[in-house]
Amino acid sequence: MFAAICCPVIYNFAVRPYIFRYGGLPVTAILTLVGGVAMTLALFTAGPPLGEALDLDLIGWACVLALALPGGAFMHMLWAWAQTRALPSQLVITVGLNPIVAMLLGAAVLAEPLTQRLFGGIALVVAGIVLTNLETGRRSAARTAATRPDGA
Amino acid sequence: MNEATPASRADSGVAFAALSTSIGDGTIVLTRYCIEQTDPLTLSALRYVIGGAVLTAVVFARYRLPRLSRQERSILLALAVIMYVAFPILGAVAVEYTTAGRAGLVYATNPLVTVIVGALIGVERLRPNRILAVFVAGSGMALALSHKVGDALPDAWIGDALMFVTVL
Repeated sequence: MFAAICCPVIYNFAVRPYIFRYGGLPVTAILTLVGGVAMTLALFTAGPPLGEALDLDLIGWACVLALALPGGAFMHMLWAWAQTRALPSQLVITVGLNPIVAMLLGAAVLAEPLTQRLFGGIALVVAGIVLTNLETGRRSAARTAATRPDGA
Repeated sequence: MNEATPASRADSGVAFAALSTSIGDGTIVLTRYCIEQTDPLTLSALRYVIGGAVLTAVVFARYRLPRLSRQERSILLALAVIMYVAFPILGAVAVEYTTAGRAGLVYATNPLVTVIVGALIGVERLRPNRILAVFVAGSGMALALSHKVGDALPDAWIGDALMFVTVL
């Protein structure tokens, strides 16, 4: 699991120079497409043929499209835009919203129970996000600009 | 129209990131609907190929693809493999050896690793408020997920604590 979390950390730092140099949309488009093709090739070579794992009905394909476009392309675009505006540590703390939004959606859509721990967790995560961005303002934004990999 | 001030620019970056993360969480619910008809890695491949193809079409229509040097192509290929192949595969392998709740807890150390790596490579300085914020937000994730980790080994928290110290 630790090896897994190192992947986005490496990605977030290493991709910054290219996003500043070429723009968020072109870089995200190239990386997403190349990554998808590479993943497809990996599945073909390492596992069973792709076709055996695809038995989607119409609703299933609708879900895949929703996962690919707003839930994939747009999500990665937003992250790329965010990377040009704030430092990685200011952005990555928002992953704290991950389980919380999932649980809230689970409650809304799948009628899963909401717990007091969840609300305590929400308060702490929001406090963390506010705390890490307390110094945003001119100083932080100036620092973001100063650490732009292209030096612009 | 007024140009965004530096403060609002940084804040908008955090807002974009929060929206991106929230959309990512929303996909979990959609994934549950269709996961029985496929498997997580095939679903990831489909998402990335379709999403990447649409984004690339938009780039072709509105911009022009950047002219990359051979070195840049190699680096971006490596990044694409790290983020879109290694990350989902490692995540899928990890949850075979632990519970989803515990995996979520380890994932909560992501901001801490980011802060440390950022300081080590000189992109940003270690600042007390950021370190405190990482622990506060991490505690929030731990609290939210705490009801999901109790079904593992009774002393598994020791392993998690050791893992956390290792991350530090």
